[in-house]
Amino acid sequence: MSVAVARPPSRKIDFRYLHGQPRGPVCYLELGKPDAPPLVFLHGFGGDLLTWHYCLVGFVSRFRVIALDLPGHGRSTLDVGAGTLAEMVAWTGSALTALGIDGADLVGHSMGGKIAIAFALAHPGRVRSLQLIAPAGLGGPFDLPLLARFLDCATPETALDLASRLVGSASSALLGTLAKSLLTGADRGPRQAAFATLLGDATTIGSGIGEHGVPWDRIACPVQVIWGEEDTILPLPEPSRLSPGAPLTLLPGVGHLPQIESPGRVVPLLDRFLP
Amino acid sequence: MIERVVAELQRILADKGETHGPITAGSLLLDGELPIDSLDLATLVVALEEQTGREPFKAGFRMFTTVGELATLFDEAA
Repeated sequence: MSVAVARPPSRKIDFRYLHGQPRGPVCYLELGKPDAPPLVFLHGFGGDLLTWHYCLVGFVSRFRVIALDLPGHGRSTLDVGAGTLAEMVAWTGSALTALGIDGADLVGHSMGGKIAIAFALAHPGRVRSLQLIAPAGLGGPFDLPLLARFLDCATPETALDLASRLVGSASSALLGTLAKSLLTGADRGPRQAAFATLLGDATTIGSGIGEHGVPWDRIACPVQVIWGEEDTILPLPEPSRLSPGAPLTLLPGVGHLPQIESPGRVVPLLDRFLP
Repeated sequence: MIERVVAELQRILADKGETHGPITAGSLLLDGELPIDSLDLATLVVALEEQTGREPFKAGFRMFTTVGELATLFDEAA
């Protein structure tokens, strides 16, 4: 006679939710050491917390690793309000507070990078270090119309076209998976409205922070910048827009998604820079 | 170690109700044939750390892309 024994679920890590937040639920992922310094990841426009790929596992031994789904993205609330940068900063601060995080090392990609910069400006005491991967907000060219066109007409063909623009020449193997992911993300009605609001508000992911660029002199924590040399969506801006003295690494053959296209180079860069 | 990695992967995929082909040392963990995402990858690494008591990334991140490479990192962390 056999006896069925209940097997514990293998998923030791799963999506978690903060309820009672001003705009609705916050979805996040937490792994690593609960008592270690917090390391927080903020993804880019159209992405979600899963876009960090190898970045998360690389830090589980030494950090309390948190990846957030920003409003309008992933499994977090679709309520983005007016989509302003100030709202995104307030939302991030509220989420971190609810997680019991007073200060953290921040890693932000693209729109998440812009939010991270603005968060560091608004709350300098809460950011131990700032690592920016192709961050928005520095000013300079940004191919927003390409993203808007895709949202207006999301088809397998336009998804593949956008995917080919997002990655560099060394990452053609990722095109199929990326296009599928883009199409899935754009295929939800309420999310489309959230994306449109975020795209429509230039202060969120369009123009630079501050009339004359980011006031880097007001950010006291260490800053590192990582950029793909072949990023045509958000190309590296002129040197005067970068944080003076901050290490800048340009990755050859890489486009706008360095953490996905080249994790073997990005994760060690992030790792070595952490305090 | 490779058997343990494969077994844990199979368990994760079974829990998700995913069907998949054979898992070999050369199987890509992400962006390949296996239907796993970065959350599954994190689950895999953490589960293996708990089972073995080894932390392959304690001294810093080392890149891996295949099942066999991950197994080697755990072997070397012994």
